[in-house]
Amino acid sequence: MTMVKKQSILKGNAVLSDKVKDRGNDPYFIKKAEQAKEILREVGIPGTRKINFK
Amino acid sequence: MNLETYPYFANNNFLNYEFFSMGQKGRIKKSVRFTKISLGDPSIYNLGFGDVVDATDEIDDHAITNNGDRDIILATIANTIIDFTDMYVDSYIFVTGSTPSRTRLYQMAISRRHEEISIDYIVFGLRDRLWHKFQKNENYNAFLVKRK
Repeated sequence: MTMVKKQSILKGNAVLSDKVKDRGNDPYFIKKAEQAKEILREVGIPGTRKINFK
Repeated sequence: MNLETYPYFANNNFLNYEFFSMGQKGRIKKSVRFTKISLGDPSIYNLGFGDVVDATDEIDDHAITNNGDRDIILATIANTIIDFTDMYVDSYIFVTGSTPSRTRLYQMAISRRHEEISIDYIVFGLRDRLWHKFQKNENYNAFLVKRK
C-alpha cells in the first residue's frame, strides 16, 4: 500500500530587514520570559525531566 | 487554504519580527519576539507579542488596538512561528496570553487550524499543571509548540 504524506501547506514568508529591532532587552519581553520560566519550572515539558534555565 | 496575513519582517537572527496592523485606528507597529529561556537542551523559547508604542519604542502588550484585524494578526504571528522553526528546528515554543482572554484567543486560533498545524507541528496544552496533546473543546492555560 502506498503511504502518502500530507503536504505541508504552512509556509513562512518573512522579509529580512536590518530595520527590525532586536528586542531582547525590552522590559516586557524579559518579563514574559521570566513568567514562562516560572511556569515551566513547575510543570516541565513533556518527556523531559530536567530543564536548565537561563 | 490561504490565510490573509500582513507582510512581516525579520531581523537576521529570526528571533525578532515586526509588522503593521492597518485599520480604523491607523497604522500600529506590532512586534513578535522569541526569547530563549533554557540553557542547552531542550531548547525552549517564549513567544512574546505586543504593540510598539511610538513614543517609547517599547512594547505595550495590554494595548487593545481594535483595528478589526484580529484574524490577520493571528495568522501573521503564526507565520512567524513557521519562519522561526525553519531556523530553530528542534526548539519548543511556549505561548501564553498576557490575559486569560488573550490565551483563549490563541486557543481558538489553534483549534480552527489544528488539522493543518498538526501536519508539521505537535501542540500541547497546559491544563491542571499537566501537558496534554492539544484537543479542540478543551481549555488550556498555555501552549507548547514543536516542529515534528
